[in-house]
Amino acid sequence: MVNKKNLFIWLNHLGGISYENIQQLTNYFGSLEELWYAGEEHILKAMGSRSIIADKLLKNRNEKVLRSNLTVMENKNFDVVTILDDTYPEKLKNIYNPPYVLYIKGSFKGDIPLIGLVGARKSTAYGKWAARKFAKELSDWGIGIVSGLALGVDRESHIGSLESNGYTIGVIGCGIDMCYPKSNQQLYNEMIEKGCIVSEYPPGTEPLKHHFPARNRIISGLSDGIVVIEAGIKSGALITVEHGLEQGKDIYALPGNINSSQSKGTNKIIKEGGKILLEVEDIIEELKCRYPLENSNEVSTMEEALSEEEIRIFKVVKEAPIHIDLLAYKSRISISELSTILTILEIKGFVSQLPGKTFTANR
Amino acid sequence: MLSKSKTCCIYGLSVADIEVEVDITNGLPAINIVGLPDIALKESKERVRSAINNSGFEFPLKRITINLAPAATKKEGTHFDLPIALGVLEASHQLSLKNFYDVVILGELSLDGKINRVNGVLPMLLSMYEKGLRKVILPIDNLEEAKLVEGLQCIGVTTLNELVGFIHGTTKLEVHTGSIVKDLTSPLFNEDFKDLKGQENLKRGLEIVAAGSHNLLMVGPPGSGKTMAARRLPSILPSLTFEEAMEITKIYSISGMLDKDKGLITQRPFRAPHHTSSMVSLTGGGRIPKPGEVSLSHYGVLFLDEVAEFSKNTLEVLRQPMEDGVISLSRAHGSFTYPAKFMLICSMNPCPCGYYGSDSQHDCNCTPHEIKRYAAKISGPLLDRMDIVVETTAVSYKDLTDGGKVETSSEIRRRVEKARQKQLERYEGTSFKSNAQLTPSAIKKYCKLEGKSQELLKNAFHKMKLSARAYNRIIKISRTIGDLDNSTNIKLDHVAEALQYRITQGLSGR
Repeated sequence: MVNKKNLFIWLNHLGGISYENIQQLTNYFGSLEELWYAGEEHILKAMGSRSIIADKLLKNRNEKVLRSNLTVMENKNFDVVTILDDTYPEKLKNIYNPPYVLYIKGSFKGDIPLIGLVGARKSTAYGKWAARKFAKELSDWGIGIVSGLALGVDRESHIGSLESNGYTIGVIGCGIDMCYPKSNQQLYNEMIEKGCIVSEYPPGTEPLKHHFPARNRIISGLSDGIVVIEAGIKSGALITVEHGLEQGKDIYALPGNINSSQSKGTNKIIKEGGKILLEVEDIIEELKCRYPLENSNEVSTMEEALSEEEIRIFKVVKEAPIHIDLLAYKSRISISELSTILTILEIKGFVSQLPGKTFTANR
Repeated sequence: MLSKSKTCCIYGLSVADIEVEVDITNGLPAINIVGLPDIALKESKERVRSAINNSGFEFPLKRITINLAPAATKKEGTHFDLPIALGVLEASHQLSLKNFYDVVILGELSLDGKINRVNGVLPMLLSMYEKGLRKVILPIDNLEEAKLVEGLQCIGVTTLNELVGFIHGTTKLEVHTGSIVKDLTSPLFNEDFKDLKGQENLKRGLEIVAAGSHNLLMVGPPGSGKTMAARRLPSILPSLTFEEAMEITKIYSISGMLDKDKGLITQRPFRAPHHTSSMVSLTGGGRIPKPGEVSLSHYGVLFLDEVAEFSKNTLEVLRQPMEDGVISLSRAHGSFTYPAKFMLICSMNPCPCGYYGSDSQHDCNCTPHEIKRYAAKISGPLLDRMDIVVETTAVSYKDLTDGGKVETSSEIRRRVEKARQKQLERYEGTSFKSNAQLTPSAIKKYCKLEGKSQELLKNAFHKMKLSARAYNRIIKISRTIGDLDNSTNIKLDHVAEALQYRITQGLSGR
């Protein structure tokens, strides 16, 4: 019962104990088992000034707590991986303060190329469009998408990947058994089937504010590169970038309108030396040195799938997202005909609709 | 001596005939009105006394009892003044109503003997005509309205003196015979769609709702022409049939909102209550309920500007009338039913600041939560009843100055009229008057989808994640688009266009 793995789980359940603290303890005791049986005064001494942690350790150091921690996870549909296991992702071992326990729902693949797509929850139509577009295109190259399963850019990134039948990982800031925000439940379920959900927090943990910046280090840690789609000047995405820089990852930022508050952060990254993301090849070139990549997407050509008129409209939409009225004006076509064509284009998957009756090209 | 005369009283839209009995006996001078009169009716005796005195007649200083039979039902209204006054005059031997027992008498008296207009004349007279009465004496200001009752002989009077002269046979008054109004042309509209530049999508949406009498929700940033467009909607609505016009006129008659120079209402109503309106003002209310906005917009438009600002309860009361086409109000006196077949046109912003999803000139500074909460102000069931959703954008300066050809209201209206005519022909012999009223079983019967259209709809369901409820809505809209296109079947193009007016994820994503 008292073995290394279970002790990790026990420590993880106590909450607020970082890998750094654990290292401090193992340095003192030699191993975690020693800690379990050590005298009270040793623990106080080991933790020194951090008496809160020492308190926690002392209070909960009994078989009952350990057993209840373990039973919480029995017969549940998720895996528990500790930093000692072989299945623990190599990439995460090298980051500062790694999560020493991971709860995983779905099938985890750590060895494929992964790109983190991050950005503001409150994204603009442009951000949502770009997130989905790049997620799709990256997936076509067999690259997995890592994101935070929040609203906005995160959500679109996961959806884009799933739409292209790609692999996607969602790193969440609450217990693995919980979906936050609730409105992502459907996406959450789909991701368990086709990708996976990862959390470092024990089941039942509430989505607390400070969990989200913390989980960003896992997003960046798992990824081979980080793409910031949209970020305000104080966005959480910038925290991911900081982690990424610390961990030596490539940082890409999507340029945006200089007036848009949601692009201030990304434009700043570019200004400070981040890579500018204009097309998916910008990322592919970089990753090709490390992984064998191949584009699996056999695009049925536009000419085959669409009629002449449909191509004409599609080309206008492709220039930039456009409101239906302006599109009618630009393409000199009656609104009823245009509506018909747009529906066909939507169903064929060439365009999609954004809030405000604005249309955007999918490819 | 005892005098009797005929009048009637209105309860909601139903009418009861009332006999006014006046009896004068010896005793201490007093006037008593019995037969459950309301306050306005009780005060009638003061008006009658002054009017009689000021018209040069004598008000008897005796014990006067006025009974409104049947005595057990409550009476309301000021139109009893005139029959009471005539009754008093007859009972005091100042005139004889012998030839007027089968004449309905309505009218309110001024203190100087002038006869004022009263409310609810049209429904009262229609019902009295059905009961076999053929003659009416009423205020001259109500004459136009009364003349709508085919075959009814109407005599309009201005003062009590004139009326007494007429009864004595010394004054000649013209007897008008009511007839059906043939000319139902609407007056000219001040506001025309040609003033509305750009906004093609919104204009097309309004054209479709006008043709099929559907409901429409406009979502867009401030200044995108939502209100402007809605105000122009009456100018493209199809003209009324006589039956429709009569129904509307009846409601307006009860509410006292008829124009005295014009009997029949020939223009579809357009009602735009402010968002502070109360629930009762929409449904109708009062001890004997008066029609509310939902009934006043019968066969017309109920426009709720800034619908998200209405209180939730106020909006929810719309659901039942939208479903049933009538509103039933129950009060202590009984249940009153008013028709309420209106088109609901709503407008709202996409978020509290108004700029969510609009172009890059304005940034939306609302949080996702705020946006969701704002959208959730329109409840799911209400949103479900919006057939067409149009999302507008602010028109850029370039578009406003562009000299491109803009359709006028009358051009659009011509198409709308044709489409509505097709519907009336198709639904002849049924209770339906427009596509919007179709029930699910009627949709199966009347809305045949071509093979390809069926296929498209199936694909759309999968791809656009539509709800089962959206299905009927889209077919109804397709049917209307087909009618505008003068097509018997619902073609692929029609369904495809209809799909563009669905409720998008942004609005329903709660």
